[in-house]
Amino acid sequence: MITAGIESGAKNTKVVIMDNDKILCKNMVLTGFDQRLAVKRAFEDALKAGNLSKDKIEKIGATGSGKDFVEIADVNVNDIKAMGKAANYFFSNARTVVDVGSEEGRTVKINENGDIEDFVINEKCAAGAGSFIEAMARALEVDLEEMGPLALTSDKEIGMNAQCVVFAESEVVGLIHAKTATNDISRAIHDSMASRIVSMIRRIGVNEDIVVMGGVGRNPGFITPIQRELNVEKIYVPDEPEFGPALGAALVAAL
Amino acid sequence: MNILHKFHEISNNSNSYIKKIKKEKNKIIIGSLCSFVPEEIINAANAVSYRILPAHHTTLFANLHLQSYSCGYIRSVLEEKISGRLDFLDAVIFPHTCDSIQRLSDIWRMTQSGIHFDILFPAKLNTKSSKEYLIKILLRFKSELEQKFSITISDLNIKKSIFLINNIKNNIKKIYNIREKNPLILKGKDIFAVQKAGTFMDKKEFLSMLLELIAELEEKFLKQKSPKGRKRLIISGNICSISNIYSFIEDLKADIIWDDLCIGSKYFENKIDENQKNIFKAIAEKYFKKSICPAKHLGIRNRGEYLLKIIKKKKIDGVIFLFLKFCDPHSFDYPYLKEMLNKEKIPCLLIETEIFEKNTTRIKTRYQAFLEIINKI
Repeated sequence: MITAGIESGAKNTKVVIMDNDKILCKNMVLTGFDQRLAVKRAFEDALKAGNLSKDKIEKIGATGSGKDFVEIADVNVNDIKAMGKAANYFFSNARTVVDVGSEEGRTVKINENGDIEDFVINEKCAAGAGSFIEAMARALEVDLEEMGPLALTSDKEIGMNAQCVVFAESEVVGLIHAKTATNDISRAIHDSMASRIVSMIRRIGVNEDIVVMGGVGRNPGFITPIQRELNVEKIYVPDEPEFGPALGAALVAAL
Repeated sequence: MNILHKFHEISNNSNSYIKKIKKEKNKIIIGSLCSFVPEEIINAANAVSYRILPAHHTTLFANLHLQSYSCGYIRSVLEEKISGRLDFLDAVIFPHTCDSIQRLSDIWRMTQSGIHFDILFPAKLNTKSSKEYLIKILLRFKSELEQKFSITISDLNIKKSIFLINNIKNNIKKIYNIREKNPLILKGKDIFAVQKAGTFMDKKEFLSMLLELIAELEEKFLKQKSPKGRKRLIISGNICSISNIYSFIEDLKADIIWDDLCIGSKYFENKIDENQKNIFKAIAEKYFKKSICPAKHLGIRNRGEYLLKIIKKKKIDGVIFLFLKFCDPHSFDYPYLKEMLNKEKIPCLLIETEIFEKNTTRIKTRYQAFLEIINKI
């Protein structure tokens, strides 16, 4: 059965098209202001990439904060459910799933079938979300992709107090004024964000194995402090972690 | 207009309702901030107890007096006062329950005009000395009320008020009992409107409307079959001002069939003993058996045990904790409550909201995931 999963996220819209368990193609575009247009573009480009016509897609599942605006969807898939199913697809050993999107950080405890057992979503602010690192990269005038590798070159631990992105940014400015090395600041930023996520993991209980999804999964500066903080041997990250929820939606659509 | 529409109409227009009552019935209107207010004494003074509920207005002035960690409710109440939208109140009562209400009382006294009462409730509600103290506090409140408004509050009128308010509570419970058996005959947003109206309406008028509603519901109950396969949830927390919280759940084939809210079961489950000769002792004792507010103490695990009791009795599938952001008393209790529920394998969900939540998508996402868990059990 060929299904498509569409994640209409706050920042990016992603599409994954699958033939049962096999990924046929995927695509990602910036969501921008018009969620419907982003969905249309992402879906059409994904079809082109897979050399498929729309009538070949038997079912479409939509997830993400804009899922209600995905008019072509047959199934509205809860974001947490999509995460659980995707983590289970990538790693059947997954029991805790972390998904850091641009506006939300989430941790989910799942069972051997990828079904949700418990979950926590950040409530207070963006300090547990991808936009936190983006804002800090701007403050440091460092490319987003460089932030993680830069953090790994630091061996200094500098605590950051601010729980809020805006105040964290002024804390970073304070560190810049104090001539703190950029790599040390980058590490402080990643450690701070990782500690928020670790607290969320602890709230549902640390159940190995831990899988990280969302674009932040590509950032080693974020994965390393989580591993260190939780004292686990390995954190599992799929090859293209940002496509996790869309893939989960495609899997649920096939059920 | 049918009775339910009338409840919604009044509930949505509390200020215009109360202004009309004041004009037509010549009643004293006393604002209050919490369900701990002894409304039996107020009613006996020919006054109406008006629970100040959150309003949909942007905060323009209250932030001058409050810190960023104050809850939205406190902020909204102060904003309404400063903006002059509470000018119909003849007095305001601050029951000393949570820190925020106590501090708001100080700010109010220093910066706002008008008659102001503090009722200094004891923190512990399970000792002999605190009960003796509370009786004195209630007597003092009665005499302060008499002095400020040059009135006399007779014991007979207090007794009549106790009887009237107990009657109201019995009837709200009756509605809950009908809903529990068939939640589809009265939607969550409707029971919410009824409860909200009850926080400020003239007691006699409210009772007569309740009786009319019950007659309608009983008739409906006989005709309409109870739904099957829907999940039964309970909501616990502080003041709930988002009525569509209920409809989101109902769309997912589940119903909030009971609650542990101040403007909910916590109100009607605590009645005053009508046979007690010493009426002030009787009123004080109500607080000592009250399903407890997290700002007060009635035993270390009292709230958790109470919740588990309801869960068993009402065959509840899951608990939704709905807290206002920055509500310390509830947030401090949450970890132990969750632990107690986890031990009993009762799923629970925590949602923190602003007074009027704009981003309802995030709430729906949490509800859906929560129902996923419950449906798998």
